[in-house]
Amino acid sequence: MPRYHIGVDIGGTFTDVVSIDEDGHVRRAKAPTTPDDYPRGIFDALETLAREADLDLGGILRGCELFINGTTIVTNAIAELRGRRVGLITTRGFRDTLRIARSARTNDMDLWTQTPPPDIVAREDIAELDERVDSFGQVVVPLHEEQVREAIRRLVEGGCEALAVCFLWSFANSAHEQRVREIAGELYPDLFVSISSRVFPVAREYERMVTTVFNSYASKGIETYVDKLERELKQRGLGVELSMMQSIGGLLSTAEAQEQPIQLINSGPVGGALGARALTQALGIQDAITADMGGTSFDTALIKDGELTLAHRVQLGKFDTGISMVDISAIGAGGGSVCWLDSRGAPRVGPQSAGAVPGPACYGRGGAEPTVTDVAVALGLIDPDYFLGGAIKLDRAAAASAVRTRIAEPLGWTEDAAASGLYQIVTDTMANAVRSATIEKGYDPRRFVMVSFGGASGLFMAQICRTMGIKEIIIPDDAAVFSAYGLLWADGVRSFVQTVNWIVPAAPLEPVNAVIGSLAEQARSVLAQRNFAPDQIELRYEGDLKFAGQIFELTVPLPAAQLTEAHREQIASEFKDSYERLYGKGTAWEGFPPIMLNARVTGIGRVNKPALRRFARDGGSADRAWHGSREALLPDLGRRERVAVYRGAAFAPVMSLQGPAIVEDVDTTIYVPTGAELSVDEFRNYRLTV
Amino acid sequence: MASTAVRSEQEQLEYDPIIAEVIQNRLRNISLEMATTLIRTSGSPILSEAKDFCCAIFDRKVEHIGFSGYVIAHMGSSLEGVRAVVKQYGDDVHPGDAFILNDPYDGGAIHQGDVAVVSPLFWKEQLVGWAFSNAHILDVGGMSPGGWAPVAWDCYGEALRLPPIRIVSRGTFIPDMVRLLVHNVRLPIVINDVRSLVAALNVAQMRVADLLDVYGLEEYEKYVEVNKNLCEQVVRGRIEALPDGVYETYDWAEYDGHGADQLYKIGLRLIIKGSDLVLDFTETDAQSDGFINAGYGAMLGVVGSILLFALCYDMPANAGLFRPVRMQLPAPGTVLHPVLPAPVSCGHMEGASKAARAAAEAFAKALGIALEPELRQRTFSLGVMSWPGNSWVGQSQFGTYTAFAVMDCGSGGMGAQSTIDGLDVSSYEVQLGNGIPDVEINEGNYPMLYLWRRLNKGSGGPGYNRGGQGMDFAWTPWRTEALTGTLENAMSSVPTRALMGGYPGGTNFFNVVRGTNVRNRLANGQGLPQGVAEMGGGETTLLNHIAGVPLSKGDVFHQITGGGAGIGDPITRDPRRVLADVIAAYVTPDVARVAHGVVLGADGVSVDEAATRRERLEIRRRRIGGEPSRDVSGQDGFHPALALGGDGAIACGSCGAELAGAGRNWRDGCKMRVSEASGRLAELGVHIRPRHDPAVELYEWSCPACGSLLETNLFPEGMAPNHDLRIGERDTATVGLPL
Repeated sequence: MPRYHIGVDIGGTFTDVVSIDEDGHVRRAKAPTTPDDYPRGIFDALETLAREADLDLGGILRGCELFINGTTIVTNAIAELRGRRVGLITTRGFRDTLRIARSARTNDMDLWTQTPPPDIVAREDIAELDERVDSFGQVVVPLHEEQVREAIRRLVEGGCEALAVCFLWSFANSAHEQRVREIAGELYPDLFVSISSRVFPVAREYERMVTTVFNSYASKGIETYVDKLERELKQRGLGVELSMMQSIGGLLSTAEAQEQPIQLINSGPVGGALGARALTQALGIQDAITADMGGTSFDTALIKDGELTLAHRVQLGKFDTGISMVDISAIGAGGGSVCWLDSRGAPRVGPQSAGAVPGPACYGRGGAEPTVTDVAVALGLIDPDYFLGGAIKLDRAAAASAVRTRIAEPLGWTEDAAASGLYQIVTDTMANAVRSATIEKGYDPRRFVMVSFGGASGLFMAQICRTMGIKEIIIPDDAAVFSAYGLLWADGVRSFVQTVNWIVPAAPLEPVNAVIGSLAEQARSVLAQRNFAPDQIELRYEGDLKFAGQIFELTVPLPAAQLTEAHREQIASEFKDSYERLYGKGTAWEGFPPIMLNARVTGIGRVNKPALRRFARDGGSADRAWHGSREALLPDLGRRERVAVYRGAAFAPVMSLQGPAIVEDVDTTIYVPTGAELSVDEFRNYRLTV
Repeated sequence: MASTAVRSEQEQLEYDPIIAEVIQNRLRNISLEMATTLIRTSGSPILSEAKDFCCAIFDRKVEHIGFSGYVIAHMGSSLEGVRAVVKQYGDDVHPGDAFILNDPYDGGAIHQGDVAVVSPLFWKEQLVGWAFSNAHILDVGGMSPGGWAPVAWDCYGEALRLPPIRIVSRGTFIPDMVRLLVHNVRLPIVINDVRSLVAALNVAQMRVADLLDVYGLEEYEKYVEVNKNLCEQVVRGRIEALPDGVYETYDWAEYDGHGADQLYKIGLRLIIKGSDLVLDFTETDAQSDGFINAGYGAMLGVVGSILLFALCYDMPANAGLFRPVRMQLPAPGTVLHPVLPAPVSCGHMEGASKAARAAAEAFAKALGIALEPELRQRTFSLGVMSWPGNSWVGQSQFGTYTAFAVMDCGSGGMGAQSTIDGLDVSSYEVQLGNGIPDVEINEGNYPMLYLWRRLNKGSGGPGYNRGGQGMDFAWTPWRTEALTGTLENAMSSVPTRALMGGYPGGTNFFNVVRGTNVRNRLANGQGLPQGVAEMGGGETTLLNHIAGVPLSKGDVFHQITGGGAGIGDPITRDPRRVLADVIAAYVTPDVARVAHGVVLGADGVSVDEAATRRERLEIRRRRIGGEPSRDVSGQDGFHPALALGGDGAIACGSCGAELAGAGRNWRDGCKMRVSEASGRLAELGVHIRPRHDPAVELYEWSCPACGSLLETNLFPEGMAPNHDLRIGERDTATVGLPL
C-alpha cells in the first residue's frame, strides 16, 4: 500500500488538500470551506483526493503516515472576536490595562478612524487581587488566598467560561500566578485557565495580558474542532495522530494545541512560506522573497540563507501581542480588492474588498465596483471562459463596465487607459510593500529570487519584479494550493522564551545559563514526548539583544548552549554586526553595553520527508502547449495586441517561450510580458525571467 | 495614455494621474521608511512610545512633497528648519552633508527639545531637494532636563540653542561639533539620537535617487507639482463650501510659572473668502517672561495641524494643503510672536496649542454650517490638546544617576467626533501614533513603583458623543532615597471647549501626597493603597509649572490626565450607550441622570425609558425656564447645533426655530445660563482646577423653542461673550502671509 503525507489547509473560501507519496508524487484537491462544520469540507476535499489516487477515503487515510492541518479557526476567532467569555485576574490597580491599551492612537490624520481596541474581556469580568512583585522579582505584597477563591468563584458563577491570569512582573516571579492556577484547579477542575507566566513569560504587561486572554478566548473553538476532527478521522481509518500547524511554522500535537490554542494563529499563510522554503532548498536557492496574492491580501515573507525569519510581538488587528510567527507582512490588496478614486481624483487600490459576496463585478453577483480581478479581465489577461479551469464563467462586459463607469468616465479617460492605469497602481502598491518588507530587514530586494504563489499572483508578478529590480521569478506547480502543499514540509518546532536581562560584558553567567538550560530541557522533553528520537532533535539558541538604553531588541543566534567568558565578546560583536547591517555602518552605540533581554531556545524535531519528484525532460517545443491567440491590452506597453495563449498542462521540462504571452493553468494565469522568458524546470515549476 | 488637465492658480499641467499617484506613494513610502529607521535605531522612549518625531522630504523649492506623519505639528518645524538651512548656507552644501538645529528663533523648531537634522538631496551631483528628520531628545542642556524649563526667564537659560550648523560634512561627523554637543547635555547618550536622525536622512537620499533614476528630474519635478496641485484643489473646494465670513474665537494660556496666576488672551478671527482663508491672531496679549511664548515654527505647525484635521483628513500631506491659507501674526512682542530673549521652550504646548484650540473652534463652527452635508458631519471637538510632562532626576535603583521623563503623560482623552466617542488615552492631538510605556517598562528602567494606573473615569466631556477619558496613576519612589521633578501642565483651569452643545472634559492635575502609609502597609502585608484616602497623607495640587519638586521615600506622585471635549447635546445620547458607560463604571448613575437625563431601572443595569423621557424633558424645561414649544425628542443621529438659512439667518439645528436674523448674534437669541465653571462641571462629573482673579465661567446657550443645548463655552469673569459667527462679513484689509 502506498504511504502518504497529507496536508489540509482550511482557507476562507476553499479547503485545500495536498498529498505526497513516497515517490514524491503530489496530488491536490479542493472543496468549499464549510464554516458551520469544518471537518465536512475537509472530508469533501479528501474524497476528491482519494478518487484522484484511485482509492476510497478509508484507503488514503489508512495509508497516511502524517496528517497535518492548518486551520483558520483561531485566526478567525481572534479576527472576528468570537470566543469564550474570559474572566481576567490581575494585580489590584491595573484592571484598566486592556482599555488603556498603551494608547491606541494611530498615525492617521482622520480622527474618525480613532476607535479603541474592542473589549475582549467584559469590564465586569476583570477581577483585581492584592498582590505585587517588583522589578527585582521580589514579592512586595503577598497573595491573599481567600481573595483568590472569592474572585474565581465570582467570575465563574457570573458566567465566565475560561480564566486568564496576568500579574505585573510574573515573568520574573511566577509564584502568584501558579498559585492562582492551582486554586482554580481545586475549585473547578475542568475550567480552562491560562497564566501569563506560562503563555508568554516576557516583560511588558499589556501584550502579555492580551496574549494570555487570547489564549483562553480561542480555547473553545479549537477544543471542540480538534476533538471532532480527530475522532472522525480515526473512525474513517486514520491510524496516526493528527498534527496541527502552528504560527512559528512547526507541528503541534492536538493536546498542545488545546492547551495553547493561540499558537495556531495565522498558520494558513505559514504553510505557503514553508512550501517556498522547501522549494528553494530543493533548487539550491539561498535568498528568496515569497509573495502570495489571494482574494483579499498580498502576503510577503523573506527566506534568508535558506531559513524563514520569525517576527516577535506581532500586532493582530488593533492588538499588540506577544505572539511569535513566521514573519509574513500582509497588505490589503488581492484579487477582490476594490479600485476607487479618492477626493483628489487619484486612483487607489484596496484595502476594501468586494469579498465573496458580491465579489468582483465579473462574477456577475451584483458587484458594481471594479476589483483587481476585473482589471485583469477587462485587459483580456484572464479568459472569462477559463477561470479556475472553466469552473466559473466570468462576465467580461460587467468587468469592463465597472472599470468604465467608476474610473474611466469620472476621469474622462478611455476604458483601456483606465484598465492599464489601474494595473500599474496595483503592481506599484505591491512593489512598495515588498520593498518595505525587505529593506526594513536590512536587505536589498534585487539580490533575491521571487517565489510567487496564490491564484492571482501570476498576472502581476512580472511587473512587480521589474519595478523592484528582481530578475528571477519561480511560480510553483502547485501555486494555487501552495499553503496546503507547504504543510507537508513542516517539522516539529517548539520555542521557549524567558526574560533574563543579562548585561553581556559584565553580568554573571550562572543565572543566564540556568535559564537557557531549563528552556532547552523543556524543548527537548516536549519533542521527546512527541516521539522524536534524540538524533532527530536539533536545538537552536537565540538571544534578543539591545544596547543598554534601547527599547527594541534584535534577535541573534547564541554561540553555544552554555555560555562561557569567551562568548561575551563574540555575542557582543555578532550583535553589533547584525545591528549595523540593519541600520548602517557607524550606527551602533559605542560605549553602551549590549543587554540580552530574552533568551530563546527553539527545538526542531526533524520529520522524514519524501524527496520531490523530478519530471522527465522533454526536448519538445512550447508550441505543443499553444492554444491559439487573443487580443489583450498589454498593460506594460499600453496598447492592444494579439497575444499567444498557452495551456500550462501541456508544458513539460524544459520548454520555454518568449513574451508577450499568456499561460493558462488550471487555477492560475501567468502574464509573460514582452522581453520576458518563461520556462518549466524539472520539478514542473514555472521559471519567469524578467 | 490618457491625460487630464488640472487647474491651479500657478499653472496648468497636462499629466498622467497614474504616474502622479505612483510618485505620491513612493514619497510617502520613503518618508515612512525614514520613520521606521529612526524608531528602530533610537533608544529613546520618546521616539518608540510617544512617537515624538517626524520625517519629511522637500523639493528644490523647499516645499513639502513627502511627510511621515507622527507629530504633524512638525509640518511647521520641518518647513522652517529647511528654510533656515537654505538661508544660512545657500549653495555651500554637498552630498553627504547634514545640518543640526533646534532654535525656535533661528531654525523653526517648535521647542528646543526637538533637535532636527537637515540634509541636501543630490542626484547626479545636482541638488534635487532636502530631507528633514527631527526628534524630541532626552536632554538638550539648560536649566532643567528634558528640553523645557519653567524656571527660565529667557531663552538663553532654557537649553542649548542651535541655529543651523553643519554637523556631518560629506558623510563624516565633524568631531568638534559632536564634542560640543556631548559636553553640554546631561545624558551623552543623546548623541545616538542624532546618529539615528542622520540614518533616516541617508534612507531618503538613497530612495529619492532611485526614484529619479526611473523618472528623471524634469518628470519628477513636474509630478511633485501635480500632486501639490491636486491637494490644493481639494482643500480649496472644501473652503469654498464654508460660508464666507468672519469666525471669531478666544482662548487663554494659563499660569506661566512666574509671578501671579494670570491668563493670557489669544484671539482669533478666521476669515473665509471664497476658497481662501486667513487666520488672524492680532488680538493677542503681550509676551511673557515664562516659557509659554510660541515661535513661528510652533504656530505654523500646531495651528496647521488643526487645518489638517478639519479639511485634509483623507489626503497625503504636501505643500498644496497649506496654499489656500494665510496667517496674520500679532505684533512682535506678543505670546504668539515673541522676540528675543523671551523664553519659548513650551510654546508649542502653551501659546500655540491655545491658538490651535481657538482655530479648531472656528473651523468646527464653520464646518457645522458648511454647504456640503458631508462637511457638516466633519465638525468635531478637540481633546486635551496638552501633554502634561514631568521629568525627574536622582539616584536609580541601580545606584547610578538617572534622568527620566514619565511618558505616561501622553494619555489625555481625544475629542468626541460626530461619529464616535473620543478615544480614551489618546494624547496631545498633534501627536499621532502615540503610545505610552508599560508599567513594567517604567518600573524596570526607573526607580518607581506604581500603586495604580487606571482610566480617569468620567473625565470625557458629556455629549451626544462623549470625550475620550484620560488616565489616573500614582507612583512612589522605589529603591531610591529621593527624586527631584520638573513639571509642565498647559491645561488645568481652562479646559478645551466642546462643540455643538457638548461639555468640556476634565483637566490635568499634578498632585503630591506626602508622608503616606505605603511603607507601613507593605511592612504589614497589606495591599497597596488604591486611593488618596487610603494613604493617610494630605494631597496637594501643584501649580501648572514648577521645577525642583522633591519626592522622598514614602511620598506619592499622583498624576491625572484630562479628558476630551464632548460633542452634541448630552441628552440626545442614546440611553443604551449611557447605560454601557455606567456598567463600565465610566460614569456614575448620578452623572447619567444629571448630564444625560438617563434614569436607570431599579436593577441598575437597565434604562427606565419612561423616567428617562420625563427627565430629559425636565432638563429642557430647566434650560429655558418653561415648556418647550417644539418637540424634538423623536430625533436621533447627530446634527450640528446651528443651521444657516439662505438669507443669512441662523436657526436651531434641531427644531429650526430662528435664533438671529442676518448679521445678528445667534447667542442673543438663546436662553443663557452662566456659572462658575469648576463647580458646574463637577455636577456633571468633570473636574477642573478652580481659579480666581479671574475665575472662569461656563456659558450654556439653549434654543428657546425646543430646549436643545446649542453651545457651551468658557470666558474669564469680566469678559462678555463675543459675536462669534459673522456670516457674510468681509475683511479685505487683513491679508496675512503665506505659511
